[in-house]
Amino acid sequence: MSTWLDAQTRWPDDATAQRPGNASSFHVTTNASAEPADDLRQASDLALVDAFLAGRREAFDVIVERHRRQVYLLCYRFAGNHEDASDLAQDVFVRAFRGLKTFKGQSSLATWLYRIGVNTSLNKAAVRRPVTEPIEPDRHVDMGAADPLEDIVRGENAAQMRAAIRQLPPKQRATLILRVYHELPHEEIARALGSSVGAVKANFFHALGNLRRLVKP
Amino acid sequence: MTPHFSPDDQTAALDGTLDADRLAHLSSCASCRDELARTRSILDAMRSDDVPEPSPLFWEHFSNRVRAATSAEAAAPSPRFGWRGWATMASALVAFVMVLIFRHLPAEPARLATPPQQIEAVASTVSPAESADTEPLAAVMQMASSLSSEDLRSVVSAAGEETLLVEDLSPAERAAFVRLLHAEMEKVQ
Repeated sequence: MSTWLDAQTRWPDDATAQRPGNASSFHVTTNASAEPADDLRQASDLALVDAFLAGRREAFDVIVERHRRQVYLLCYRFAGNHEDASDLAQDVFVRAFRGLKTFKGQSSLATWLYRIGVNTSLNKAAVRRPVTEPIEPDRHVDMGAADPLEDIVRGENAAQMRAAIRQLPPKQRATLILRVYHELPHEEIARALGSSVGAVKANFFHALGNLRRLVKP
Repeated sequence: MTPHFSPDDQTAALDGTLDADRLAHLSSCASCRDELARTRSILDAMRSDDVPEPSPLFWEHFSNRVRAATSAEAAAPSPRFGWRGWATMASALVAFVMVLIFRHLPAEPARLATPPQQIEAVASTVSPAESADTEPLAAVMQMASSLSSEDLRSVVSAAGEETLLVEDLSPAERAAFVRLLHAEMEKVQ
C-alpha cells in the first residue's frame, strides 16, 4: 500500500549516513518573500532542511506546502473540527520551524512532523474547547442520495466512532490514528511516538478492544 | 487443537502477515474468525469516516498564516542567552578583572607577574560544582595575564590603591566572587 510516507524521500536511519544535496549545493538568500525556486520544489525533504539551515527561508515554505495536508488531517483527527485542526497544524509548523536545527534525519521529516503533531494535539487537548460535532457541508444529509436514510445512519455511526476514539487513552488514540488513518507501519509509529514496536502493537490491540466495547453494534 | 489467537496474531492477521500455521488455525476456528471479523468491522467503520476536505483556497491561506507566524518568530528576540549575551558578559568580565589586576600593579612597567599556570591553579581550587561557572572567568584571567602593565593602563584609566587581587582571595571569597559573577550573568540573561 502506498502511503504518504512512501512518497517522501527517505534516508537510512544511520545518522552518520551521507546526505546528498547538502547545504553547500544551495546559495544563501535573504529574500523571504520570494517564491521557492524550482530546485527547492524538487529537492528531497532532507535537502530542504539543509537549505533552510543554510539560510534559505523559502525552503521552509516548501516543507509546509509539502506536508501541510497530512499534518492538518492528523490534527483534525485529534481536534474533531476544522478551526482547531488548522490552529493545531499551524502550531505544529511553528514548532518545527523552531526545532528544525535539531532534526537529525534519523527518521523521515514526515515522521518527525507526525511526532510534533501528536504531541501538540495531545498537549492542547486539555485546554481546547469541548469537542462538539461539527456542522460541515460534508456531514449534511444528501437528500439526493440513493438512500438518505442510510446516509443518516452512516453519519450517526461515524459520530459515535469519533466519540469513542476521543475516550481512548492518549497513546492508544495516537497509535490508532497513525495506523488506521495515516497507514503508518508499526515501526514508523514507534519512532513518531518515541516508543517500542511492541508497545505500539499492544496499544493498537488494546485500542481496538476498547473501541469494540465503546461502539455499540 | 492449536491455541486461539493471541493479540500478536490478531495484529498480524489485520496486517496480513499471519504465518501459515496461524492461518490454518483461523480456517478451522470459528471463534477466532468471529473475533477477527468484529475487529475488522471496527476498522472498516473507522476508515469510512473521512475528514472533510478543506477548500483549495484554505491551503494557500494556511501557508500564509504559517509564514506570518514564523516570520514573527524569527524577528522576535531570542529568549535564550545568545552570542550577544556572552559577548556582553565577556566584555564585563574583562573590564572587571583588569581593574582588579591593574590595582595590584607595581609602579614600574613590567610584565604581569602572575603566570598563567598560577592563575589556572587558582581556578582549580574552586569546587567542581562551581567549575562550570568559573570557566569564563578562568579564560578571561588567562587573557589578562598575557598583557603588559602598559596595555592594562591603556584599558583602565584610573589607578587606585592596592586592595586585592583575585588570586589573593581566600576560597570563601572566591566562591562569593563566583556567585557575584553568576548573579550578574543571570541579570544579563
